[in-house]
This record gives sequence, C-alpha cells and structure tokens, in this order.
Amino acid sequence: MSAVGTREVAAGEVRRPAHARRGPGNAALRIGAVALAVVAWELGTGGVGYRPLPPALLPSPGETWQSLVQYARSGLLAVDVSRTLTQAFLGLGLGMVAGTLLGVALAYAPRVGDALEPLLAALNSLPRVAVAPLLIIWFGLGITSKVLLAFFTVVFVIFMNTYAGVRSVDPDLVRAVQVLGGGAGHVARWVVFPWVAGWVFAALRTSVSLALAATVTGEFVGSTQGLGYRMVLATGVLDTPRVFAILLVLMTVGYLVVEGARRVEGYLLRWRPEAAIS
Amino acid sequence: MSLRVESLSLRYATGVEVLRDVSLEVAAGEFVSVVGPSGCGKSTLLNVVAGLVDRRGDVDRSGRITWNGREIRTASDWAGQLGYVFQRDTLLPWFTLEQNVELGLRVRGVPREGRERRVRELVRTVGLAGFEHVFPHQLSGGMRQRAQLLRTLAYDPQVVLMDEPFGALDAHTRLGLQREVTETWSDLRNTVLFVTHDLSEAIVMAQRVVLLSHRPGRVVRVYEVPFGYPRDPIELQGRREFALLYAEIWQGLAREFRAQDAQQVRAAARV
Repeated sequence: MSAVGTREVAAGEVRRPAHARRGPGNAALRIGAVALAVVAWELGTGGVGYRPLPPALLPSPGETWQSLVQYARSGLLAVDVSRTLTQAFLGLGLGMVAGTLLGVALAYAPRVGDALEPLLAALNSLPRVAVAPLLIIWFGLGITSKVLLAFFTVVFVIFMNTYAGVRSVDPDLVRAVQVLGGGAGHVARWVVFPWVAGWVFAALRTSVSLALAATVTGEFVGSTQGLGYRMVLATGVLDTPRVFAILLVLMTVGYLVVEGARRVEGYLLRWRPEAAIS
Repeated sequence: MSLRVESLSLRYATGVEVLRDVSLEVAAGEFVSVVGPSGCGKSTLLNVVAGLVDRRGDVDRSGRITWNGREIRTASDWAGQLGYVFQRDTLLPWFTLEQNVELGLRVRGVPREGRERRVRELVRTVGLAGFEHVFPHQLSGGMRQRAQLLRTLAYDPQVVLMDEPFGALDAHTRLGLQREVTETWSDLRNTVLFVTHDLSEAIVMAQRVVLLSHRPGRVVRVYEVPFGYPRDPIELQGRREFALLYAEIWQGLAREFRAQDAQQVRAAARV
C-alpha cells in the first residue's frame, strides 16, 4: 500500500495473550494455606495432647513423614513412582495417537463414522475400571495390563474430541486458504491440523488425570509394583501411615503432572482468545 | 482482458432461486461495485466467480465465468490470480499476523527472505508495524481487516473480490479503510469486484456501480461514477455530483427494497 497515512496504534489496543493474563498468584498465601492444613492435621492427631483416633486410623503428619522417609530410603518409592508414571504416560501417549487417528479417519469417512458412533458411545459410557480385572486375566500382572487400561480410558476422550473437531472445521477458513491458491495439502496443514490439534490438546489435562487414575486402579486390581500396588500391601497389614504417605505421593505426582499438562496446553493454545486455562 | 459473467443463473436444490441471468463484464484494471437489497445474491455472485460454489452438490447453476477467455469453475482454475477479502475475519487464529499475511506467498513458493521483506514493507504501510508476531485475537476488528487486505495484496493478485469487507467495522474505521483501499488501488490497478450494501461506499470507491434486483438477483442497471483517481472518499461525499448520483441509484435501490419486502410478506402469508 502506498501513500496510506501511517496509523498510530496504541499499545493498549493489543490484548495480552491468555496465558500471560493470569497473574503468578500470591505464593505466600498459597503456601500458608497448605501450612494451615498441616497444622490442623497435627492438632487433630495429638498435637495438643488429645488424640481422638489411634494411629492405625488416622496417623499424624510426623508418623506419615517417617513412613514416607522409610519408603524413600528403601528405594521402593522411586521404583513405584517410575512404574506408575511409565504406565500412565505410555497409556496416555498411545491413547492420544490412536484416538486422534481414529477420530480423523471416522470424520473423513462419515458413513463408517455414523455406523460406529452408537457402538463407540456405548463403549465410552462403560465405567473403564470395570474392565481392569479382565485386562489382568488377559495380560497378566505386568506393565501391559495397566498401560492398556490407561489407554482404554484416554482413547475415547481423545477420539470424541478429535471427531467433533474435524467435523466442526470452519468452512470459511478452508475457503480462505483455497482462494489464496492453496490446495488440499495446504488446507490440511494450515486449517484442519491446527484446528483438530486445538481440540485434542484441550482434552490433554483431563486425559492426564484419567490416565493416572486408571493406572493406579489397575495396580489395585493386580500388579507387582507401583504406587497402587504398594497401597494395597499397606492396607492389608493396616499400615495406615504408609497409606497416607502413598496418598501424599499420589497427590503430589498428580498435581505436578496436571499442572505440567496445563502449561503445555496453555502454550500450545496460546492463539486462543481464552485458552483452556483456569 | 476482462472478467466476464455470462448469463449466470443459480438455484439451490431446495428450490430457492438466487441469481437469474446475470451478465456483467469487468475490464482488466477496473473497479466495479455491486449493490442490491440483502439476500439478492451479491455474495453468491462473488462465490461463483471465485469458483467456490461449483463443487457443491446442492446447487444448480448455468452460465459461464471467464477470466481473459478462460473458464472458471473451481478456485484452482484461477491459478493463483485471485484474491478474496471476506466480510468475516478469516485470518487463521493459530498463525501470527506475519504468518497470515505471508500465506499466499508460501503457496507460491516465495523463499523466506522474500516473504519477510514483503511482509515488513506491507505491514509498515498500514500502520501495523510492531504487530507482526501478534495473534489475530489480540488485534482490533479494524486491524484484523487490514491484515486480511494485506494477506490478499501480498501476492498481487490480478483480480480481487471483496464481500462487504468493511461491513463489521465502525463508521470511522470504515472511512479510513475506504480511503486506504482506493489509494492503494489507484496505484495497483487490479481488477476489483466489490460487493456492499452501503450505497455511499459503492459510489465513492468504484468506477461503475451495478445495481442488482431483489431475489432472484438480476442486473437492473449499471451506473458510471464520474470521479477520477486519486480520490478522497470523505471529500467526495460532500460533492453535488455525488448527491445526484446517489439519489439516482437510490431510487432504483429503494424500488428493489420495496419489492423484496413485498416478496417476504407474500412468502410469510403463504406459510
């Protein structure tokens, strides 16, 4: 454009991206809230000399911590955490790949998609943990049965999102690329792929926690290692401090994994007006 | 050298007739605008010219579109010579402003350095410098529409179609963009078919104004606009000749408005 009057644009006219809009939060307040919870726990378990429940029912923070330290020193903590996470992430990864492929394939073959939709919806409404015993029978106590359970849990969520995503691609964006001279390859790379990726990653956070939950459940049902397995052992001998220690570990691992997923999601979807962050 | 629409008729499978025997010719380097009551098939006309309608199974169309004698059926028949500015913002939301503007150049295999130089140059001329790496949702409506214009101008298409490109903007921004586009066009002189429902806009920008009838759209009359370029759309609207031409076209347009309304009343009565 030639003699067009250069237009000044105030910096305020540009909105900040969603992932930057969220403040860092008040770290001190957050730590304070956690500390307060621990203090309340301590007070309720003999901190002031009165202990309404025995350690076997409700261990104190100190007892839990001791058990946790012991667990860590034995080397089993690292083994269990890595086993549980390996299974969860393998299941998650496979589920995402397979769910995406299935979703794209069925969306591009609408007749097959229509035919399979009720079947898939029925499978989707099946409580996933209900197949855990079956998977143990089929694949044994090793890693495979847990990976498959996590996979089975995640794959439908991803599939549903991908399927809905491909079917809702904005036809105006497709047309825009076509009139720029773009062919089917350009449309796929510039419109369909990013559009569907948005839908898939929007399901990432949910899928991460689903995969973790499925893995631990699978370990409850039958395994030789992992946090869920260790928890079942501890419950069997009424080692409640150990149960609490494992719950703490699960909580921390879960929090970190979901928080990580939230950040990945926020970064990948930073082009969205309000990325799925909260 | 011209864009020709020859006896174009178009009807949806539902029975709705959108265009009836529309013929018009836009000479190479000419700026023609199209006005008509809403629903008269203006946008459909552009979509047919762009080659976006032919693949759809639910339309039945006859007639021909040709550019320099070559028939256009699908978007690929334009062989990269077409630009289309939509009313709706169709910037790809996951690409930054720069990535959006250079899409046409990427399709044409322009190497990175060339693309960057071209984008830098374009972005500066419309006051978007500094916003190259910003995502569309962070830009105002006017900025997004400018970016869309840049995306079209970047590869210098011979024919540019515009479908109410300023329809969603506030009056002030719209006047600014009308001036920017006419100024740019008087330098580039590509062939432009410009659809709008705003009669003033149709007159101040174009060399000729085509009046389409109520649905099904037919060409009622074509008006010559007696102003040269460069022109200032704002100043033009204060002129006597503008007022006379506006009044003349308005009488025709008003007749079509009334006919369209009567048609809707009849349709409602039938239901």
